[in-house]
Amino acid sequence: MSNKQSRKSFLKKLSLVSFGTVFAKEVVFAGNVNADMAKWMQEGNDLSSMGKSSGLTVLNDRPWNIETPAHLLDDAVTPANKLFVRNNGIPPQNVSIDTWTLSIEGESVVKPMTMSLDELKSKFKHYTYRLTIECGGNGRHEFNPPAKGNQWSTGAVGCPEWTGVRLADVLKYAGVKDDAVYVAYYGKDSHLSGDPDKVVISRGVPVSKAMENESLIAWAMNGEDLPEMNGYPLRLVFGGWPASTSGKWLSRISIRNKVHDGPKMTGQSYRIPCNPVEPGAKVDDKDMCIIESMPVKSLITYPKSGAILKLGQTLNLRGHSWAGDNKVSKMHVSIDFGATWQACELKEPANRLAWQQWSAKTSFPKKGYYEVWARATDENGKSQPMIVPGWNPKGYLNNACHRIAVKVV
Amino acid sequence: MKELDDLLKNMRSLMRLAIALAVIVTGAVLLRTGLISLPLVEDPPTEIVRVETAADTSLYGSVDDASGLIIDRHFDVVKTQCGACHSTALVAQNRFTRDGWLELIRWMQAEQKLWDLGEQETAILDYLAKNYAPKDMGRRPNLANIQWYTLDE
Repeated sequence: MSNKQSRKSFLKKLSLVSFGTVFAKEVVFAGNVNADMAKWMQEGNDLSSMGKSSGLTVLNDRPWNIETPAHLLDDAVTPANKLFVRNNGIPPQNVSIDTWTLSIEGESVVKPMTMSLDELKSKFKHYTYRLTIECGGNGRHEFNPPAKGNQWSTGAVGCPEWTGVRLADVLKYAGVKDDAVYVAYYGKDSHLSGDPDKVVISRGVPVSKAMENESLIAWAMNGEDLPEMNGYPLRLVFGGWPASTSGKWLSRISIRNKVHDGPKMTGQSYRIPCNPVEPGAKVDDKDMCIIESMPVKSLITYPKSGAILKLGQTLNLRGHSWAGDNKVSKMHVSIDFGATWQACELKEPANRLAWQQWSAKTSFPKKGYYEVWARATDENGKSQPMIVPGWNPKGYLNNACHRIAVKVV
Repeated sequence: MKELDDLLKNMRSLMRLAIALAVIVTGAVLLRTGLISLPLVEDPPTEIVRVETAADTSLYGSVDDASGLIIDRHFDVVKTQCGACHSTALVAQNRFTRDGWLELIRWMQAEQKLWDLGEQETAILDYLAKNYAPKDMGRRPNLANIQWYTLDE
């Protein structure tokens, strides 16, 4: 039987049988075994085999895209098993930290070099920071007309404690030429099509962001190795910028003499219209601008939406707020759809680019249905909108107020 | 002299044609017999997957547990063609007009190595435009799927 025929009969069977064969199908099509997915299937859709809490929401299993419901993001430091997953391709399998290398290259590097993980860890000083990373498309599901892609709700955000070396220290060690413009990454994930030469995603940041103290090449999260799904053994972390800049499974850093032009850096990817457009507008690539710092935003992480209280019962509220490169300076909640706002307690960030904890107590005047809305304001006076902000073709940067439902009986 | 030239020219083009044909036939035979094979991803399942709708029409409108897709005419075509490379969950969570879905297919063909869907493209578009059309959500939809619980503190 020829290859073609066996595949034909296979596909015929496939159309009639259960999801359990998807793993086998992937082998046939992509020639790429995704062990995590196989485990997931065998263990009844249990996410623990990939180090994630079963309470997380799977948006997509090829590639894995998993978000965290707001009430599971209650910790000030996001645990590894509750950090969202936004994969563009298939993570590398059978990673060996002994043979893993990091190369520094590009038009604007003085001394191109390749180093082992041991060299990286021994040559440069270690730093630990809490850094908020959020997917540029977090909140996409509310855009109207809809934008293509994973329909993230509110859970593609987290703030773990990252340990690594400063990207700036490594860049300076290799030498940065005066004409350097951008610092780009390449990782070891592979394309869904199975084509080994196709780069999945390669993005980056301007040199100024790369040189900040909090821009890390990290190998640890919360004192442990990075989770496989979040970039083990090495990744970049740029707090406050679209998380797609924080390249996972990092193997090469390229110092570019122009704005980087890797996959998902150009066209419409991670870009918004340079000037605002009406909903549903077609926007030429030349009129799209790269997203840099993310907008001000907040979450109510306690209580979980759907709480039923007795009349007269005080409701304790808490959550986090963050504002890209900026600090959050004020936090408010409303129980009457924005007619009145109540100021919350707001903590300072643990360090620059870490999310900030807020808390409040409120009570309700009479029985009935309520929503609690939360609104953060950054140090420049910018607040979260109550409605979905400016429409953009790819559905990025929805920082509309988070809200929960409450019933008083 | 000119006639001889023309004759030679014609013979040369005939020879070229014959060689080209021989290459094509040999290639086809080798492929058929499995002696050589094209890379899997380059090998489009267009003519292979002639999936007929296997679903019972009484199930139309319900959701298939395995794929998360709405069961309807051409459901199996969508499940197989789209599910070949990515999760069908990605299909089920998106909503577009017919033109929007077509644009997405063209983008996947240009950027993500999707094959020519042939005549099944129409079936796929019929299914998607009917079952996954955009809904007008306004500027902020109501909270949905609230799971109520008693909060004791």
